[in-house]
Amino acid sequence: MARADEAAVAVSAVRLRGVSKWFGSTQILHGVDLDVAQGETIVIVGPSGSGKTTLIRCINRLEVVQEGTIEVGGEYIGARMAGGKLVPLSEKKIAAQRTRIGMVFQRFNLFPHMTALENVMEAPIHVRKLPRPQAAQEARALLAKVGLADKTDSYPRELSGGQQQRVAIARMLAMRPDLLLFDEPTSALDPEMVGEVLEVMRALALQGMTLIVVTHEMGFARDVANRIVFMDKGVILESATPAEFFSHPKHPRAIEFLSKVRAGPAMAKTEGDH
Amino acid sequence: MLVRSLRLLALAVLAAVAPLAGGSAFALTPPPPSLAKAGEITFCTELGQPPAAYISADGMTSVGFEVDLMKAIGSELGLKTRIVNYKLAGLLGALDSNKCDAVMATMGVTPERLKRYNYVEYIKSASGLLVPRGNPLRLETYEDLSARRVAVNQGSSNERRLKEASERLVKAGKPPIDILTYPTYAVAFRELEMGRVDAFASAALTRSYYLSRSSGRFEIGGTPIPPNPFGIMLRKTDIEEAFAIRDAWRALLADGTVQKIVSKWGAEQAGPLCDGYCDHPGASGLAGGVEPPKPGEAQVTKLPVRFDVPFFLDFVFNPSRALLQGLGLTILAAGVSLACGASLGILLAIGGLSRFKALHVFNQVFVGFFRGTPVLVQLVLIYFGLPALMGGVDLFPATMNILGLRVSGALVAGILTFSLHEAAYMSEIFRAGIQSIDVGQSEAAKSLGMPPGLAMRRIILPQAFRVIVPPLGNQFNIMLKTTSLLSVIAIPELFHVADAVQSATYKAFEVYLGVSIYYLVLTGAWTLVQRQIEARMRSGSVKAATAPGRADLAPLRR
Repeated sequence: MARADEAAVAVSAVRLRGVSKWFGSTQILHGVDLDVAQGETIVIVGPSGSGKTTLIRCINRLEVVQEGTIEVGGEYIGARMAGGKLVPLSEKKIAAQRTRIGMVFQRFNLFPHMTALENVMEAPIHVRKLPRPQAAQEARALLAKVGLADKTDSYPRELSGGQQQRVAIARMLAMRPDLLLFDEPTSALDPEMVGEVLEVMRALALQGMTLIVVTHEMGFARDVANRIVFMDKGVILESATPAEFFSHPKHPRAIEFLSKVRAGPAMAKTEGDH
Repeated sequence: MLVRSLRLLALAVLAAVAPLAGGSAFALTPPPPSLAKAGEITFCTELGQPPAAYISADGMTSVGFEVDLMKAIGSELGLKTRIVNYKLAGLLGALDSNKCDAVMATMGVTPERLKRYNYVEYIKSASGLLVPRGNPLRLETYEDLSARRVAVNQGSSNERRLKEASERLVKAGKPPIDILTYPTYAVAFRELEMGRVDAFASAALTRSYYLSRSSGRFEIGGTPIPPNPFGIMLRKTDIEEAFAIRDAWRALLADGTVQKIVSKWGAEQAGPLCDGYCDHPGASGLAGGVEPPKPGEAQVTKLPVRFDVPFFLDFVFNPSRALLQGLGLTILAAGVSLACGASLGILLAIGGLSRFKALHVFNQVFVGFFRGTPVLVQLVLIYFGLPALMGGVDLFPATMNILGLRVSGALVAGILTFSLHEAAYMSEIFRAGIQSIDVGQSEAAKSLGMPPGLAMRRIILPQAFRVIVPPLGNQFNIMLKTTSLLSVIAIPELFHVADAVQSATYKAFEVYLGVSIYYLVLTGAWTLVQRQIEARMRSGSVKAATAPGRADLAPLRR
C-alpha cells in the first residue's frame, strides 16, 4: 500500500496530512493521511459511520478540520501559509477555492425553484461571471452530455432521482472543476436508476478527471477505481488497487467488511450489473 | 419628564379611577334623589391638564384646582366624589354614555355644546397664545397664525376657534393655520418646548401654569379670545342634578371655600368667578334658558336612543377631504413602514444567524426590545424621548426634507418607530423562513463556489419567501391598524381625523362605527390581495417544491 501511495505523489492533486475532526467530543477522523494523483479515481469504502463522507466533506471545507492540513492542487484549503503558520482565509477566498472542487451529494440538492438549465447556469453566471447566452450554451451542452438534452426546462420535482443526480453532475461540471467529489451519489436512488448515474461517472473517470467517490457500489469500485481506500472508525486501514483489495484484502476488518457486502443484497444487485 | 409624558399620553380610555374623599355626614345642600341613592357623584375629567386637574408625581393621586373643587362639591352635597380620567376628546362621549354624572375639565361654553348639555358656569377665562420669549414671529391674534404651526388640545374650544380663524383666513385668500391637535396639554406644550410648533393655544388658567414652568423661555403672545365662561357640564336631561350642583357651588362661594381653593392654586389670574350663569349673576336659571324643575313636575329621565343615520351615511359614503387624506396617510404610513421593516428585518435575520457573536447579540437585544415593549411606548420614546436625550437637537423638526420631499417630522418619527417595530417581527419571520430551507441547499451553493451573500440572495431567500409571504401579509394587516396610534402625535391619519369629527359633533357611535368600516374595507381588500398572492405562489410551487422526490428514502448523512 505504502508503495502505491509513493508512486502517486508524483503529481499530487490532493494531499491530506494528519487530518483529525471532532463533532463535539466525538472524534470522527483520526489523523488521516491521503494522497490522490492527478487523473486518479479513488473509491472510499467502509462500514457506515467510518468517516468516509466526513472525509470528503472536509476536502471542500463543508466541514472544518480541527487538526491537519488539506491541499488541493498544491494549495491549502481554507488557509494560507504566512510566516511558517497557517492563517485562516476569508469566506470569499474559500468560496473561490471551492470553484475548483466539484461535489455531488447523496440527496442531489438541486435548487427546486430553478429549471434544470437554470440550475446548471446559476454558478457560471454569478460566480464565473459568464454572459448569459454563453452560460446557457455551455449548460445545454453539459445536459446533453449527461443525456438530458430534452429536460432543460423541467423543474427538479418533475425529474426522476437518476435524472436529478445527472443534472447535479452537469451543474458541478459547469464550474469546470479540477477535482470531483461524489458523496454516495447513488444511495438515494431507486435501483433501476443507479446504472445511468454510474455510467456518467465512469465516463468522467475515463476522460482523465480526478475523482474521489464514496460509494457502496462495489461493481463500480472494481471496474472504475484506480485505487480503493478502506476506512473504519476514522482511520484509513488499507489502500490498494481494486484487484488486490477485492482478491487479497489484508486488514482483518477489510476482510470482515467484504464478506458482509458480498453476502448483502446490495452486492447481489451490483453483481448483476456486470 | 419622559415618564411623565408617557403617563399623560396613555390612551387607555380609563387610565385612572380614583375614589376620593368620603362625603361629609352633614349635607349642606340636599342632593338630588338619583345621586343620593348612589351615595356618590362621579366626575369625568382629563387628568393631564395641570394645574386644573392632573396626576401628581406618585402616578396615582389626582390633584389640581378643579380636583379640589370637585371634591368640595361632593362634600357639600354629602356625597362621595369619584373622579374618572378620560382624554379631553373622549370626555363628552363618556358623559353621553353615562360613565359619569358631570364633566369638569375647563370646558368652555359654546353654542353647540349648550344645545346638548347643561352648564353650571363657574369662571370666565380668556384664551390666547403661548409663544417663545420675545415673540419673534409677532403672534398676537389667531389671524397672525396664518401659515404657522400651532399646538392645541384635541376637542378643546380653542381647537374650534382656530379652525374658524383658519377658514376666515382662507376665505380672505391667505394660507390656512397649520393646526396640530394633541390628546393632552402636556404633549402640546412639549411640542412648543421642542420648537416643533410656533405657538400653543389654550385658556388662561392652563397657559399661566405652563408659563410658570418654562423658566422664562416663553411668554404670552396675545389674548385674542375675550373671557369666556367655563362650566361643569351635565347631560341635558339631568336638570335636577345640574341645579343641585349649581346650588352646592353657590354655597361654596358663599362660605369662601372656592376662594380658598383659588388662592391655594394661584388661579386668581385665570379670570373672574361666576355663580352658575356668568352673564346673569344670581339668575334662577342656567345658560341656554334652562329653568329649575317645578316641584312635582315629572322629569324627563332619558333622551330617546338615537342613531343619526343620515349623519352616519354621509360620514361613510360622502367622506370629507380630510378623511380621504387621512385614509391615504394611513395606507402610506403602513406601506412604507412595512417595506422598511421588511428590508431591515432581512438584515437583522441574517445578522441573527451570523456566526459573528456581536451581530447575534445585537439581533437578540433589538428583537427583544421591540417585541417586548408596546409600540405606543416606542412611538413616544422615539418622538418625544430621543430629542430630549439629544440635548435639544430635534431629530424630528416640524418639516423634514426626505429625498426632496417635505415631510412632517412626526410622520418620519412614526414611520421610523413602526419600521423598527416591524423589523423585529420580520426578523423572526425571516429567520424561521431561512431555517426552514434544507441545509443541503446552502451546501450545494457553497460547493459551487458561491460566497455566503450570493447563496443567500440567489438560493436561500427565493425559497424562504414561500414560507415568509403568509405571515408577511398578516403583518401588513396588523400594521394598517397600528397606524391609528399616530393620532397621539397629531398626525392626521384616518383615526385622528375621525376623532376630530367625533369631538366636534359628539356623535361618538356614528363616527367610530364609520371609521371602523373604513378599516374593515382596508383590511378586507388586503386580505383579498393576500389570497391572490398566496394562490399564485401555490400554483408556482407545484412546479418547484422544496423537497426532492426521494428524500424520504435517503439514509441520514453522516
